[in-house]
Amino acid sequence: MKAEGRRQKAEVRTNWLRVISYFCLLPSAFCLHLSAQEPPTPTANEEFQRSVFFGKKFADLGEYASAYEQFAKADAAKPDQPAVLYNMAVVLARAGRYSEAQVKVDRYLQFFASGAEKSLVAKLQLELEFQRELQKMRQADQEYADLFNRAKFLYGRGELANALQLFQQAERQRGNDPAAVYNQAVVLEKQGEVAKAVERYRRYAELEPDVEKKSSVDQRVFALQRELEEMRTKIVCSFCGHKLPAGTTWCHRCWHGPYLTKSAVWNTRACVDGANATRATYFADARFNKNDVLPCLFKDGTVLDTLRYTPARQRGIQDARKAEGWTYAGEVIQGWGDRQGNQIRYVQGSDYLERATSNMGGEVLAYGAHDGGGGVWLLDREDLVVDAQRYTNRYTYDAAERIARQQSDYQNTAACNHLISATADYAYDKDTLVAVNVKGGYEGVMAEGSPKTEWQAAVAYTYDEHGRVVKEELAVTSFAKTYARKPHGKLRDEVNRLYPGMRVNRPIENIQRGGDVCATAGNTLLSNSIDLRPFYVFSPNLAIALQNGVTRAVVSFAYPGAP
Amino acid sequence: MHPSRFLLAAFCLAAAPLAAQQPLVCPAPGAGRACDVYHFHQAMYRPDTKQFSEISATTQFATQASCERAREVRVAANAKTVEYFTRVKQQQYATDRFGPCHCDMTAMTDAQRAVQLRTAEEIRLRVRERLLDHRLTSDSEYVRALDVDPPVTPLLGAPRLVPLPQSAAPAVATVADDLKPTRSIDTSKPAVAALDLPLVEITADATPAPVQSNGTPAEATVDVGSTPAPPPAELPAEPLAEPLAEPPAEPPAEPIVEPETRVSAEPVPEPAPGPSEEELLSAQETAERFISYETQRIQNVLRAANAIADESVTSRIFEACQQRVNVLSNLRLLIEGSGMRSRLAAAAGDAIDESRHLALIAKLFGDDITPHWAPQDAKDVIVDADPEIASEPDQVLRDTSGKYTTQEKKRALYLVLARTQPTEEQRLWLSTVVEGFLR
Repeated sequence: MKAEGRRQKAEVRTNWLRVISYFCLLPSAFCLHLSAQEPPTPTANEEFQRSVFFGKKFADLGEYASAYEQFAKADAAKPDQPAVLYNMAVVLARAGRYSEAQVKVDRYLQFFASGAEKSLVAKLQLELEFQRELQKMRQADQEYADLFNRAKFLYGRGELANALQLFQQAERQRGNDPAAVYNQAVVLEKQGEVAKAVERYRRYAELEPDVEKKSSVDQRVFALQRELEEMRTKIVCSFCGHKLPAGTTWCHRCWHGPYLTKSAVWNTRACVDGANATRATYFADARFNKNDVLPCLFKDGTVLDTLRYTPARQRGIQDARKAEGWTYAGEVIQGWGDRQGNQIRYVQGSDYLERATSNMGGEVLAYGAHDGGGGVWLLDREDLVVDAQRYTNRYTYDAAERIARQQSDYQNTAACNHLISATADYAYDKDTLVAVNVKGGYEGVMAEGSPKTEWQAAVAYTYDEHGRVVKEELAVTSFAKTYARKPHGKLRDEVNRLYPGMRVNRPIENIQRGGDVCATAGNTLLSNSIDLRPFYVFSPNLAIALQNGVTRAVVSFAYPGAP
Repeated sequence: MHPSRFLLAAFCLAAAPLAAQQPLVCPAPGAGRACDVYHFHQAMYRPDTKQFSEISATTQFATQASCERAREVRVAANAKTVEYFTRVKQQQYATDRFGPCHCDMTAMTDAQRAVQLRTAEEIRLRVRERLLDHRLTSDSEYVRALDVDPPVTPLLGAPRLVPLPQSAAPAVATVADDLKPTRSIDTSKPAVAALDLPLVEITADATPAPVQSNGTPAEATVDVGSTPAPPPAELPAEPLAEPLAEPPAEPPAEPIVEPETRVSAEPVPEPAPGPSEEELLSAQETAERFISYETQRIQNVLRAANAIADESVTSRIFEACQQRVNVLSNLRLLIEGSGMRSRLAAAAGDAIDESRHLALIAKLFGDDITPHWAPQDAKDVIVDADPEIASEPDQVLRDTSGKYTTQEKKRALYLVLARTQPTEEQRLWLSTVVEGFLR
């Protein structure tokens, strides 16, 4: 019974516990139910409002990234609110984050196609499209700017061909950009392509709207056209780079030359395949002496083409001379100097070089000239040094200002100090040099027996049907030496050794074979050779001192394509 | 001794001291006259006659120093000869006399000079003969000493015809400043266009349930090409305190873009403004209304431009539109900054229709801006300016010299607003300029 009673009591207790627990749980269930139906908690709402408020404030300050963060918080608090979506899109757009802004716009339109912000969103959409277009344009701008900068960089490094290519590419991309065309012109000008540069400058002038810039380019074009004209009509002195009229004989600012562009004789030694010049010399008894293959002189074929003026060529010559120590005043060479204080001074007159002096050997070389017209100056007198031998040349001219005669006087310091005089007479057929007759000689002093030497030589030219020189032939036509009296004392013994058969007032026999010897220096015979070196103007091939016994020289020429 | 020989010897003995007494110089040059060449005279002793011959046709030198050097060499060579003869008991042999180096004032003809040179050579050979007579060989140092010539400067003896230098292609001096910068890229332009869309008011309780729209985003965009823009969105019920938070009133009228590139000139519909309402508008609201209207206009232009195939044209239109957007952005700041009492804000507030809009714009930017501002064709939106004004619009605007007309200054104002983002200080100045134009 007791057990039954305990069981019943336990059941009652359990039931009470259930009832109590029901009472306890029910209110909470009630509470839970109630809470599900209540409006949002003040915290979430406040968070939303706070974020929206902050977002606008940040946007007002232009802090769009922060503004977006706030609106994103608001969006998290209350997802997909149309105004929030719109504001997010706007601040993202203002922050330049257009693709993100587009995402927000798309989301807005997905959910609120007819929302209150519809018109603003439509504008925003347009703005975004515009920004995309703008970005595309900016991207293209950037690429163009990069291309331009690369070209400028290459130009700065002197890589002109590559720079030109890029500027041409730039022009293909933006045909109306005057700068791309202008820069091509600059590069071409630097390359020496003056004609092409002119064309580019002209095109630039068409594109350039600025009148002032256009006119400055017009001036440049004018200058380049003048330069083009000069390239057609002028040459440069290969020594000092001075600009000279084509056809001049010498450079009047340094007296280098001759630059006889029209002379067939001077156009005999072109540096082209198939062209060559060989000089054969013969002794008086007709024995062959030797062949000299003459090196080519004019790398561009003709004198004119080789020396034709271009600004680049002129600059190249002047730069090379400057590197050697020569100095210039503008375009005119002034002299030379080195670190040791050695100097050569060119005394430039108003028209031409009047003197060249050296502070080392103390030499004074004087020049006299006259105006040949058209910017050509012709030497009347010059002091010339060849292989340490000094000569004084005097020129006379015919009515056509061609050299008619040249006289050369010198004291032969390399032998017996004789005062030698030689003259060359030039003969022309129309404008063609056909012959040069040279004669020379001297009279010695009493101590040595008053020897008198006279010689004559003739140079003749053979031309082909194209007017080219095929043969240039020098022949000593006469050579005589006579002693007027017996040399004095021991000098007589010396002369007798030189000429064992010498008789006073009788020409020395076979002088042509042995040459004109005048003294000894130990075993060395000192002689007065037939020296044609001062006659450098008439030919580049025969301006030589003839070896003793040599009386004939024949220069043969071959030209490309000639049999 | 034969009497005549005796007489000759006596003469010679007498002549030698005479020669020794000669000064061996040229007459002095005129005062202040520069000397071109120097030389020295040499009184040469002739052993056969025991007389001196003065030679003045000696080598000429460019400088006194080079003359002195050559003279020293000559003196030394002669001393060597004299020393030899002294050694071989030829006591009578006299030393040559050398004058000082001085300016060469001799004015000899070539023939006179030749005579002197021959005399010198005659004497030289007489001495040579004497030396050889003493069994010296022709290459002995004493014989060779008779032929001393000054050194020759090699550079002066170079060939007359020289080849072109090897480095025919000179190093071209290239400086980047030679080149022109491209002006097709204006770096002064802002990288982004100003965005004039306002934020909208957001209320805490406005929570419409998201509804999936049937239309695509593309469909939802306004078709401004064929229809006027829809009326403005309704203002939120509870505006925030900040005026900027106010959504803009819809532009009173929106220019319609006709198909292709035509831009309509007649905006519809026109709002019906009431004076009392205007009074209530703040400067910001005024700016918003004015700028929104104009923004719509430029968007219409942009849409119209889409129909243009020529990319270079559309590119220029875009550029012009971008400038216009910048102008509008700056105008907004000027209107807001100058306040409602300003002429600008008042005029912007009064601009309630197209004609008044254009009137204000003409007052601001000149009469000739109108066809560009409200273009009939999208292409007309491109504003060309005189290069002088375009290059320095800021200076044109500041010019007080009277060089520029008011119309030019107004065009300069447009360019300044189109290209720059003025600082606050600049905006103050621009407000003054604008007030002046509207006065």
